[in-house]
Amino acid sequence: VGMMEAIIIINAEIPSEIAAMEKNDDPILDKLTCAD
Amino acid sequence: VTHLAYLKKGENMLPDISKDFLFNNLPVIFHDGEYIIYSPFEKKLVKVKNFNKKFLQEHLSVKFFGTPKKRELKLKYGHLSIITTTDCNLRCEYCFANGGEKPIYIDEEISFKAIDELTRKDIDDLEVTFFGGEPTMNMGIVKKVVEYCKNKNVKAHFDITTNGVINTEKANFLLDNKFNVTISVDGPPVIQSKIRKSVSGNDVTKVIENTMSILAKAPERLKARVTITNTNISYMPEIVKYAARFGIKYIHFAAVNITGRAKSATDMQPSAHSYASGFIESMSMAKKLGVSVTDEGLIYLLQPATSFCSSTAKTKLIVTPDDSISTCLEIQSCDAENNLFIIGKYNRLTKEFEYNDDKINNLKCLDVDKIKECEICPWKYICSSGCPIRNIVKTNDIYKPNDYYCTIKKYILHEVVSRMSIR
Repeated sequence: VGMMEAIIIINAEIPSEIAAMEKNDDPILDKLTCAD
Repeated sequence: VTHLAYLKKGENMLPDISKDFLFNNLPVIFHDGEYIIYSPFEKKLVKVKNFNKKFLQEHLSVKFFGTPKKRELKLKYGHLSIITTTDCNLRCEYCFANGGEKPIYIDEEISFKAIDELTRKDIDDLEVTFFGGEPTMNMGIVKKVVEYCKNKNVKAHFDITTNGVINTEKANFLLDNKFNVTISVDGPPVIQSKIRKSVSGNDVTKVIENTMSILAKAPERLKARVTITNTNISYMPEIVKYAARFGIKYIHFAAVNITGRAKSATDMQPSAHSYASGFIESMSMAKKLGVSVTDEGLIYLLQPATSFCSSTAKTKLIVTPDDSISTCLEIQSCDAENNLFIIGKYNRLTKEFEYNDDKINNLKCLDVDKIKECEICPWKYICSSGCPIRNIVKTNDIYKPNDYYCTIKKYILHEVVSRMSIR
């Protein structure tokens, strides 16, 4: 019981200061542009 | 000077990553006395004070653990990239392509054929990316391709990566035709004029600023791509401020890769620790200004996979000025050093694209599960062994990861997951 109480599950939301692709058709992030 | 604060603090401001580990395909970080398990499959975080493997395996759902798959592009889209030219109006000191040194230009025949090739299949939408060199130095082709798609009634979206040294008319064309634009800019004029020099040596920062102001009228379609070297490493938060001033909402940082022109100055690469510190400091600046920053390591934070990018799957077509077909924007010629990404050629006589199936199958085999160094890395299925080109450049082996970028990613991914856990 003690162990169950110790588990906290939360939704993983990307902080606003970070850009990450959420789906394949995110228009601008979709382009990885690895090349320097 | 505030923008130097993170370098003065040095490694002290980096998180402790020594207790991070991989658990059932998921990264676990130890942060503030707690273990945080991140599931990119279920988009959930679990926090526990005590880590009991068996208990967690029993009590967390199958969905939470998930199974990583190969990264492929959505097949209902046709992905076409056109390297319009290897010419360039800048001579950036690190250019991967030695831009401008051997200028050749693509023509209508192969460009239009590539559109025909993709629209012949069961494809609803076509995404066309223009890349270079500086793609706008062959603006005629850019305009003709847009026109060709319109005339053929192809539902097309356009993307371009430009250095911004373009006139108002070209910038307005990109804006009016709803291009997604990645503009390469390395910082305020003092930096830009040192790293990204024009051919003639003239200061072109005013031209770039004009381009940014025009394109920022559609901020959702504009991203800055910033390469970090030892010249601008101490300015990373300042660069965020500078880009935000022009209305840019997305800033993609990358620590310079030692390839192309950068090979002649290997000391231009900042240390992995200073880049990671600078990136973390930039996140704080971005938060303050309401903009977002990213790095290669973070792009796929929500999309776990066994392969890094779609260059290892034949789901896109990249055509180059020497009639090659590539799967990587960085490999633009059959004479390129790493020509394993050249998977075919356009035949001018038969007017057909010819593919090398052995090469395609070889690329398809690349999988993080086959890479020894990644076996127990916490970020195994988010990084997926990283960009194959960056790996091969450092290690001469597509199956050996580039430890420089590994170090950077381990710090910034830890930092981001710890930020995700704050509610």
